[in-house]
Order: sequence, then C-alpha cells, then structure tokens
Amino acid sequence: MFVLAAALAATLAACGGGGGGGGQGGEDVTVASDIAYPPFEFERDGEPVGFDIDLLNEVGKRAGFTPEYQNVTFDGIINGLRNNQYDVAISSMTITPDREKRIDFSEPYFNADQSLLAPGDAGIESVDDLGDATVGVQLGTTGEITAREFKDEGTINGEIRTFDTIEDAFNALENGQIDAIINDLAVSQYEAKNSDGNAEIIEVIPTDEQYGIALPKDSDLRQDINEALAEIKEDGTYEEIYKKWIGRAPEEIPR
Amino acid sequence: MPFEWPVEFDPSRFSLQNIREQYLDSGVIFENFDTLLQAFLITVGLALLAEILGIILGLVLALMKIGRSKILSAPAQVYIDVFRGTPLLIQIIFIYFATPNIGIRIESLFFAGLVALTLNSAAYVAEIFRSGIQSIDKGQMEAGRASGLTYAQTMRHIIVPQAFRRVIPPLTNEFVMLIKDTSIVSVIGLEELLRSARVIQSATASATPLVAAAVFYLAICLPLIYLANGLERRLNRRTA
Repeated sequence: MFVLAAALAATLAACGGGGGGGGQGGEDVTVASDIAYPPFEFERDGEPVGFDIDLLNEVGKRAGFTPEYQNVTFDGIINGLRNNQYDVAISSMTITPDREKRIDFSEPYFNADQSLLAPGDAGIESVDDLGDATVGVQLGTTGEITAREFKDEGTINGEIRTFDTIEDAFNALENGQIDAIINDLAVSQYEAKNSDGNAEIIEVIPTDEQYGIALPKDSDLRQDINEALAEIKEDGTYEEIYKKWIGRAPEEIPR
Repeated sequence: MPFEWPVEFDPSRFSLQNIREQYLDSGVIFENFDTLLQAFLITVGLALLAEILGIILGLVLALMKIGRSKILSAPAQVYIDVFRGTPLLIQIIFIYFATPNIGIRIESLFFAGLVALTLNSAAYVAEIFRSGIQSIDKGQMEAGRASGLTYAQTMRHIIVPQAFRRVIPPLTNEFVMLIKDTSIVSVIGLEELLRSARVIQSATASATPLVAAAVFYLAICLPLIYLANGLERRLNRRTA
C-alpha cells in the first residue's frame, strides 16, 4: 500500500513539475496564455510562438525565470490568476480599470485598437452598416466589450455571438455563419492577410488600448518584469520583436 | 525534482462567508435572471425537440436493425456504432464547423445543435428500442404469425406497443442525459444555459452564474430521474 502511494506521489510530482527548464535557468514560472491568437501567441510545430512569447521569454531571461506556458481559454485567465493557478499571463490582454480591480498588470507593452473584420463584398463599410448582422467576438475580450457597447448605444442590433477562441470566430466568418467580427486590430489584420481576400479590415475602431503582462495582485514578480520590460524597450529588442511579428516598425513604444 | 503537491490549499479563503460571496451572490442572479431564464428555455426546448426527433429516428433504426434484411440492418448498425462510438463534442464541432467545407452550411446555432443532438440520441434510442423489442417473448411473434398476421402487422400491433411501455424508463433516463448534453452545444456559441452562465461569469467575475445554471439543470433533471426510477419499480412489480 505504501509503495503504491509513493509511486503515485512520484508520478504526480513529475507531472506537476512540467516540462523542465528551457536552458534559461532560474525558477520555473507558470504562464497562462490563450495560444490561438496569431501573431501574438500561436503554435508552430507544437511550440508556442509569437510576439508575446518572444517578449516574455526575453523578460524571463533578464528577470531570471523560465516561462512554462499553459494553453488556456482567454475568459478563464483572470480567475486563474486570482486563484494563483498561474504566476503570470501574457495573452494580448488589455489593461482596463475593471480588470485592474482583480489583477495587476505590468507596464504596457503594446498599443492596440479594435477593428471590424468582414468580407469585402458584403456591403458593410463601417460599424454603422451592421444593422441586424450577426457579430462574432471572443468571450471575455475587449472586442466583446466594444461590441456590447455598440449594442447598448443602438449602433448595432443583431446578435453578438461569443466564441471560445478567435480562430473559431474566423472559421465561422469564413464559412459565412456570421457577418462580421470585432476584435483586436493586429490579430484581425493578420487574419485578413492570410484569408486570400475573403476578409478585410473594414474599419479601425480607435480605442487606445494597451496590452500588459497580467499578474496576481501583489506579485513579487511585478517589479522584476517591469525592470526587464523597460530594458527591452530601451535597447532595441522591443523594436526587433515588433518588426518580426507585426511586419513593420512600431509608431511609438508604449510607455 | 522536489515533491510538489498537485493541489494547493489556501485556508484563508476557505470560509463560509467567502463561499457565500463567491458562489451565492444573489445580486448577480437578480441582475441577470432574464438572461438565464431565456437560456434555460433554449436548453429545455433543444432537449425536448431532440428527444422527439431522436425517438422517431431511433425507432426506425431499431426496426431496421432487428429485421432480417442485411441491406437494412447493416447501415443501421454502422450508424449506431459511429454515433455511439465517437464523442458528442466531435459530432457537434464537425456538424457546425466542418460541414461548410463540403457546401452544407447551417446558419442557425440552435438548428446545428438540434441536428447533432438528434443524430446522437437516435443511436442510443435505437439500442433502447432494440432491447425493448427483443425482451418481448418470442411466442408473441409466433402467435401473431400463426393467427395470420404478417411480420410487419405483428410488430406494429403487438410487439412495438408492448415494447413502448418497457422502454419508457430507459427513455426517460436518456432524456436526462440529453438535457445535460445540451451544455456541450455551448462550444459552438449557442447561448444555452452553460454559455449564458459563462458570459455572465466573464462579465461579473463571479462563479455564481455557474451555480445558478447547475440549479436549473437539477430542477429539471432530478424529478425526471425519480420519475424513471418509480416507473421502473412499477414495471418490475407488474411483470415479476
């Protein structure tokens, strides 16, 4: 009986330890991310890649920790941080006052806006043309919040359909099951570029959002992350990562 | 590697007061009650329609399967195997996200869910009917045939009506499964009970909507479970 219990405990410990260090040294830090959000976080050959991943790996290198990525649904991240299931989250998450009541953020690392994505030939030229159209959003995102604000104002009257991942929403748009998507500009731009002309950015919806690295309240890691982030913005690494994934130089570096 | 417990426990948050605040926040429910109620009606409507259509399709499949014609029984068997042998989640995702690839586009989420649940429950209902029909004494078929009825007439007037009574308890249990399975349709975005609870949870950061959804499911499933148990007992007494 004891042997069995010991074997079980050993197995659990091995599972709990995760995949081991990635050669960066330092402590392992559990990082939550909705890894279906190109170009910020997505999978290539089974590994997480993207703007956020490069950025956080660089932060970890300088702050002395090794990120262990956990692929989760976006709407579960805040709750998971609050319950200390994750140490850090990087998932193109906009810093909002509402979210700041529940979790902490690093200094901003990306300037973002919302956008309206739709087929170019659907006769939709702006948000005002949406009328009764079905609008897809990802659950829990600022895209969802923006869409619901439009609905409250009466600018749009149709159904707002929530998806677990933005990939599901893109898929539904491509299939013609929804009429448009309200989502982060950079991600919808990436989709538009890869959609063979099926979807276009119809309108940029300026919201002046900024992404931040999310942390549980009063995390010891916050100061280290901010210092590393400041260095990365300062020494040109930020611009390098930006060019690699966004395809052009940043207009300005978020402060 | 040092030993790490796979579960962490924070005693400071494990108090009656916190449990009440996190799980039983009545304010959140009052503010969103209409939304939840509407979602509940979608859940019940979806389950009811899928059950009715599933019974019709399931009975057809059962009769095909027990007949002597291979041309009928083989496809029925394949159908039942495929739908019982694959997860409902795959069936739903396939029906909504993958059929457009071959030109079949389901516009309505409700209809997509209804199709998936009907096709799935029909496979289970078919098995229930098959075992119900086969549980009727062979002598009845022989007697029917001996008195000049055809196979189809004996089935229709003698066997199936008796089988129907016997399958009511397992069909009720199947209906309970179906009600709970409607929650899987939330994956394609239909705002049934679970999705609606998750949308409110994401907006309010409260776990209370999930508890409320669970209570709604219980409110409809528990009476049905006890009803099925009672019917089963009565049936056993009568046939014992």
